[in-house]
Amino acid sequence: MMDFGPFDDSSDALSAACSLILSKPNASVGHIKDRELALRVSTEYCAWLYYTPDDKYRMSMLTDQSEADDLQKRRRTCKLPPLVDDPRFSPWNIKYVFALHNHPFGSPISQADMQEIINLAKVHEWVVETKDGRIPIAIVAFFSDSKSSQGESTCEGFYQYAPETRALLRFSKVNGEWSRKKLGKVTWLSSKTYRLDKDEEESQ
Amino acid sequence: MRNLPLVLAAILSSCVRSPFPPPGPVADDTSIALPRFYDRPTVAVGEGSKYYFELDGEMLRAVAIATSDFLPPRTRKTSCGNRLEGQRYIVTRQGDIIFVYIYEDSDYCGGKYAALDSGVKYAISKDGRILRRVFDGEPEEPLEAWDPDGGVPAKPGVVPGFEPIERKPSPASPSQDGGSSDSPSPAPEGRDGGSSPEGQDGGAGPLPLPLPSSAPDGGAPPDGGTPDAR
Repeated sequence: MMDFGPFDDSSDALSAACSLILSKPNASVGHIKDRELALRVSTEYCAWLYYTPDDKYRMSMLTDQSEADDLQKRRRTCKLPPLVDDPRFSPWNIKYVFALHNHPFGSPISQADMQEIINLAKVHEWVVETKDGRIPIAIVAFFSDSKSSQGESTCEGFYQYAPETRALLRFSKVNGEWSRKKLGKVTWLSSKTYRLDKDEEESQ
Repeated sequence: MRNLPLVLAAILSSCVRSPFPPPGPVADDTSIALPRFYDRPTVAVGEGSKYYFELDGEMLRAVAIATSDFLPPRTRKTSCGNRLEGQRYIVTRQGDIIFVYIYEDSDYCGGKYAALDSGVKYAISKDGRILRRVFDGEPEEPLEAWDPDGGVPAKPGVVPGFEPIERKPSPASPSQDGGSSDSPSPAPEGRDGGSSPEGQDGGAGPLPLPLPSSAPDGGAPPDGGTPDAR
């Protein structure tokens, strides 16, 4: 994406992506009281945050609904292509780090989200090597409940699930400072069922 | 009378388009708790079960009402992901309420994309009224007021066990390489082992790459690790 980065640091890239995606029209609708209206206008955007051979983090083009007839119904899915097409780099040298999207209502990561990132991890790598160490591939769902003075939703944080660790995390930004809370660890009981174990919280 | 053909066409087309019961108004009874659907196994028809599966008419009607409400009218241009056969359906019943979960079957449609938040859950009464409908991405219950002080300071996106390598400034060796000695050992416990990446080392095909198909009925992974995809 032309107006994004590139970034030397994955956290900086993620933070910037959160702000950018949530600034898009109707990326957050939690403030709309009329639920039907909120549903109708809510929009999910998705993109890849990927790592390139020049040791930079970049974001792919944003996509929203890719099926024209999705507009005829209320489904608000976002279809994320499994591969990034960046002509500056060989497809084999692109490393897939974070599958990004927003949850307009601020809800947590869903079972379907987790299953999709497992599918994508099987296509790509479960853990990518970067100049800063190893990063497990993860799905990220940005949320917001506040607006900037320009009327755009601002990044308040995101939910994250990495198949490699099975940890469900929430990152929150308060007064510019980021914190992480572990919501639990996913134990898969079958291909479609899981249990979320809320274990001991990380202590400060 | 000039408009008669138009009126007739509209009536006829509405008949043609309505093989299912009209969905009717959608209530939003938030007192109805929707099943989680992921907390117990499903039994899929045609996936090796020794049982026949029997639906009563009320359940079948509930599924029809849900699909009629959720999916757009079928035309020749309807995309695969918006067709009846492009979805998967999970159904259960608790007393007089039938619960239906519909989500896109990306395998059926070629698996070109990861469809995020594609599903919807319905609570439908036995007499065919939609009592509650929640789309994927919508909270099913009021979101827990999150405590901004409840976590630990962290860099965004950094997973415990995978902290970035600390680089100490060193005039003699300014580069990043070889830092694995102070790199924390990751705890790879989510995988069932040995899954080799396909996308990086020459395994990926041209765009778009189909996502892996599911095994027919993956059993429970012995260690609670990553399941087979659906």
